[in-house]
Amino acid sequence: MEGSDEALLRGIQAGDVRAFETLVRRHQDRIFSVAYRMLGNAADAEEAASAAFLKVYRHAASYDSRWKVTTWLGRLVANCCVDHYRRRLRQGRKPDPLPGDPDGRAGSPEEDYAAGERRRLLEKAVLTLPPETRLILSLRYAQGLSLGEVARARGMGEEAVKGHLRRGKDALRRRLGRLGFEGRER
Amino acid sequence: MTCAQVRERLRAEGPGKAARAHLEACPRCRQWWEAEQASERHLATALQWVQAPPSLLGRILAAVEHPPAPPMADLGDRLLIEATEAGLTAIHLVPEGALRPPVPGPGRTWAERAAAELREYLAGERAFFDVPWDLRALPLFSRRVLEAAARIPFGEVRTYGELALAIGAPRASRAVGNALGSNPVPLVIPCHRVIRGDGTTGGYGLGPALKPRLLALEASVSPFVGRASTGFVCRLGCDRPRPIPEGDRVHFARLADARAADFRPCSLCRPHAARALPFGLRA
Repeated sequence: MEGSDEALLRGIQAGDVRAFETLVRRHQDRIFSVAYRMLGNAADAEEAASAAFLKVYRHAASYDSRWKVTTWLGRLVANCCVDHYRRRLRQGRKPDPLPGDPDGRAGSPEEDYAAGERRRLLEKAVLTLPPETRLILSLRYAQGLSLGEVARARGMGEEAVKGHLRRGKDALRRRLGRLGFEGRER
Repeated sequence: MTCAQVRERLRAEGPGKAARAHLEACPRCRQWWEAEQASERHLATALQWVQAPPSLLGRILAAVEHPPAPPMADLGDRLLIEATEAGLTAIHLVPEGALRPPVPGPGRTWAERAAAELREYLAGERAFFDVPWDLRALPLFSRRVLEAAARIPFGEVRTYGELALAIGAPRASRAVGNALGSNPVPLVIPCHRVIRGDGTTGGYGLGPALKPRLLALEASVSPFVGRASTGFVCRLGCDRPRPIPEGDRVHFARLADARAADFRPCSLCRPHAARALPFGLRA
């Protein structure tokens, strides 16, 4: 079944499971990626992504057609990630524990060793950022939302999103300055 | 334009005509802009999307066919609640299918409201209770312990020792444990959030097996929900002026995150007013 995201959502609102399946197939990689970048491991990410899609199915009626579907998906997966992330807050004892290493993808043969190493270090460093910042970076880069769409997905102003992106990048720069992440600006 | 202004504009909207002219003339800014773009590329590469595991689709479709029941929703139907006109006096867990006589008299309003809120809480849809309790029948020490336990935030825990310190009786952790054990209004006063110093959960009036399940439930729910259309952030479960539709909800793990996103605290459920019992107390 083909059709725009909006048409699929109308189908889901009418109870069409095939439309839902098409929507999941179309967006699962990016939605999973947001969760994976935010939570840092595949098992948690799979749980959060499936919770997000279930919300799409159950709450399709509350979709506001003035929104892009991708923005709405971004909001739902972000909410599920925040819910999930709380399980890691060890009951108020460790406010921001570091999730495990990302299940590193092997670098492609074309990617030279140094570039692959740099990417892995950056992936790891991102997991040390504050959760809200990490979430915004994930929506921006893993899901590929624009600044305005990230702002709508998180219900905040564009200035606040820019602030998170800037602080996130500054923190990464401090951590990775010597490793080629903007190595020249020092 | 100064260099700082140019950089600000470049970050905000990319290279326009004026900025480009400045970059031509200013090698430092040019170098800065190249580095900025390089970091964008690095980030975009490091955070690029990955393939979802093949199991994801099947898992989602199966859950659509057979929605999992909320793990503890059934418990709400087994709670027997007693109340006076001042508030709740007792919450008991009765066996499944047991008859629950209606609460007579003036306490009925509180009991009914508590029953509704407890059902929401057990379904993971509420992070606070808006029903008073009436502990006048208890000794002063027990009341102090329970009032302190009531200030442990949703999703967090404190140890018996910390609670003892908080009420100014550092040697009384055992007595604190006893007072909690006889908590007449469990769940509403969250004595399940008090655990042993070694991290094990310890005893629980409604049954020790229930305690870790309650803590797991609380750990998997975000206690703060923003209403994107109005910019207010509420405690989970605040449905005033009306429930927040799914599409309008923005979850936050911490109130500080909501504030950083420019959400204002709701004046009805007052998420900012909760005086949390401190943790990390040591004698």
